Amino acid sequence: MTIEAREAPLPGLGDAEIVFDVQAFSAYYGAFRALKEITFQIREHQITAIIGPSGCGKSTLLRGFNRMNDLVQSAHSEGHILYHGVDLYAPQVDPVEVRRRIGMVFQKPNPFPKSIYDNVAFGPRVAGYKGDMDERVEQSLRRAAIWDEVKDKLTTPGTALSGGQQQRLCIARAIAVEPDVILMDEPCSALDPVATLRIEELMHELKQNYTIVIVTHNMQQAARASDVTAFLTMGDDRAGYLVEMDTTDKIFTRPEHRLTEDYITGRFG
Amino acid sequence: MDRGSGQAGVSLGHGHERLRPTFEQALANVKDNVLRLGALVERAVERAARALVERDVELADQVRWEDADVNELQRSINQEITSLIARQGPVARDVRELLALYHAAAELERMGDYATSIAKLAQQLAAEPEEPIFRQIPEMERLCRSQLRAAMRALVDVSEQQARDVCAGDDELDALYKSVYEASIALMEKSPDRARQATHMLFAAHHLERLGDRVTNIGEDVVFLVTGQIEDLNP
Amino acid sequence: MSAASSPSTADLVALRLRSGGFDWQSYVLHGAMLLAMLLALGILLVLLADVAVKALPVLTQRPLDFLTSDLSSRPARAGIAQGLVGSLLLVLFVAFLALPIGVGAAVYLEEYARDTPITRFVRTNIRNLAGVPAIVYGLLGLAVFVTLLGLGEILVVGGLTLAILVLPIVVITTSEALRAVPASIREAALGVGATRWETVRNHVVPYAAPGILTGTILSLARAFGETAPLLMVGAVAGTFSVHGGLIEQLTGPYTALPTIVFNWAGQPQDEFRSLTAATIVVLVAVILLVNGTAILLRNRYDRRW
Repeated sequence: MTIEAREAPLPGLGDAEIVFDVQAFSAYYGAFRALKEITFQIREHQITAIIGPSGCGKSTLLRGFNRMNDLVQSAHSEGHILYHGVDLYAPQVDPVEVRRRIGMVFQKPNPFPKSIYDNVAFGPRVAGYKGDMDERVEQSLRRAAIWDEVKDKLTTPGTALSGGQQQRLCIARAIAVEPDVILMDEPCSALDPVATLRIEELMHELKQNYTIVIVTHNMQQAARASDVTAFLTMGDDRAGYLVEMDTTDKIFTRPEHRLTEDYITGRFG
Repeated sequence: MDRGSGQAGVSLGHGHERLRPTFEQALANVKDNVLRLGALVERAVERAARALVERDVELADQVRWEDADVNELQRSINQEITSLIARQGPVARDVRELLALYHAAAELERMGDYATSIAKLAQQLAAEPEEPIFRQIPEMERLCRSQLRAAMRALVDVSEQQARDVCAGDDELDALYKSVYEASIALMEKSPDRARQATHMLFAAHHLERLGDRVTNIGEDVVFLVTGQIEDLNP
Repeated sequence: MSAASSPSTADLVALRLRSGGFDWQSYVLHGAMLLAMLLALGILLVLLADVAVKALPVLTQRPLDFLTSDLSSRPARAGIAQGLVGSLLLVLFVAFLALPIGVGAAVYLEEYARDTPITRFVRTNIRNLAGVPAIVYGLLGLAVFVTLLGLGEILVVGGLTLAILVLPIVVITTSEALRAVPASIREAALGVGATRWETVRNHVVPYAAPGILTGTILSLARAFGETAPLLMVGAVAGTFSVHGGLIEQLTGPYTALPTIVFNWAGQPQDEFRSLTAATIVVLVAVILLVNGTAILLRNRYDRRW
């Protein structure tokens, strides 16, 4: 007689709506191919972590989602990234509009050397937001879990905050334009462990409202904070390719692919 | 940006670079200790059964004393594993291996307890006037030990097939136990004055049967280690 | 430590740490460099002191009169009023002309232009232009503005010539200031959906402003002190009125402080030695003032990224 263990539904994958449908996406810097025919999906309200060794093209892939790679002159791509069914690389798509919907938080906290208020208000301003700006700023700072720390000093420069606070300010700045997706490019690599855990908790809260894609070097962070993990590595031609993507739980307990196992357990094979 | 580092990264396509020799060494050390624990338990089972059959009170006493070594070794294995989990952050196969070893050590410790119980029964039976009965008991003991060795071998080889074979081999032990059970009931009915002896022998057989079940649990641990799936292989 | 026993780690460490001999090389080098610096400073001080001493009679006897009097061939009445006004107007002209064009060019080159062989060629040439001798700009001004366009030897032409002279410097310093704004700031602005222009206008240029300002003020100081090109495009030391209207000023004959220095230095009368020195003192004082302002600005708004 066995009693079925009541399994909590594993977060990740499942049948949530597909936000990004990446189809045979390749990225180049000049003649160098950085990414080779990546194909996978990112689903709504999930935290998807992209892990892999240095130089495997994680950041390039992440920057492909909001066309940040356009800023690099020699960069070009092949294949498609569909965002809710629309090809982000179609000719009539405006990258500025793309970036309004798909926000980004960077590796090193990069607040503007302006007041905390102006840091948050800049996005809505350029987006032509006509409503109550004070409210928008407060709401964004609250969602980024930094309101209580800064509410009495909104006019002080954002650069005067601590590293962890700066990064949360940057998250508030990204939220303020009400994006649909938040891309995070190693958001904790410059932070101490406590600030790191705070950001991870915050990500957990944010996924109720946003879809989050995070690139991280820190595998423990991917294990702790994400629902789905994609593992990229690179071949002999140094072009990054997707080895395996699955629920984080699966990747970190019983990955399918030997390369994944060797990477996450710290043995390159 | 990844553009710059793309030129400098380590190629993963070929070659074999061991990045965690310290951790691997520690893991191998834990495994060695589990095998040592298995050897201790095997010896205890063999001697407990011999004490039972040969009515050797001295030997039984030694088995009981030596169980402390088993407990001590299991404790130290637990400590090593706890420390490795806390400090090395094992994932995937590594964490499965540590959990499998942790569980296997716990099972071995329980087996040691069964050996001790058999040794106690041996002492009580030595006080009985009649010669021991039930040829099945030495047979069960031999089978138990060969199962245990096979399970340890499966652990060393990390072989799913060997582990499954071990689990399949448990049926024979169950059958032997069943025949001891029938024989002891028959004996009690025939000569009620030997009921005490029959009960002791039945208990000894029962301990050996349970011991065999624990061995199959170790087999399940090996399967978990290989596949990541928890299966019941001794239904 | 006995001879038989091997030395302890502590002994070895002590031995190693104390074994550094007298590093005479670094002392000699240190001394040589100090000497070079003192030499340069000394020459400058001697020059300045010499000028200051010679200027003393004029500056003590009639300081105000000297600054407000017109040019004159009679030493006792000669002043530098036209020079001051001329230099001021020239610098203002340069400021209004060279700064917008220079800053605009730098913003284009740094923020918009794609990295092609042509833009690289342009960049290299701007650097080269900054190193071209000033007299060449004078010849250019003479050939283009005075002769080709037939504007005559008027203040506007002097201003145009100086503007072209400082333009490469403005472009270079502005470019450097823009480049000092980290890429992460641009990414931050673009990342929340700002256009390139919004990014440049709201962030890059404002954050680079102190650097741009410092660079351009220094380039104005350069314009203030230049003599050679002005001599080519007709700054004169003759007598003319400085009391007309602005248009009249801009389109009339003009002079500037450096030109006056050059002119007076060639006068035979001894009294002009003192007048020349006094003009130099005024010129140097103005330039020091301008440079000082630039340094103050830079220190005040210097940003750490």
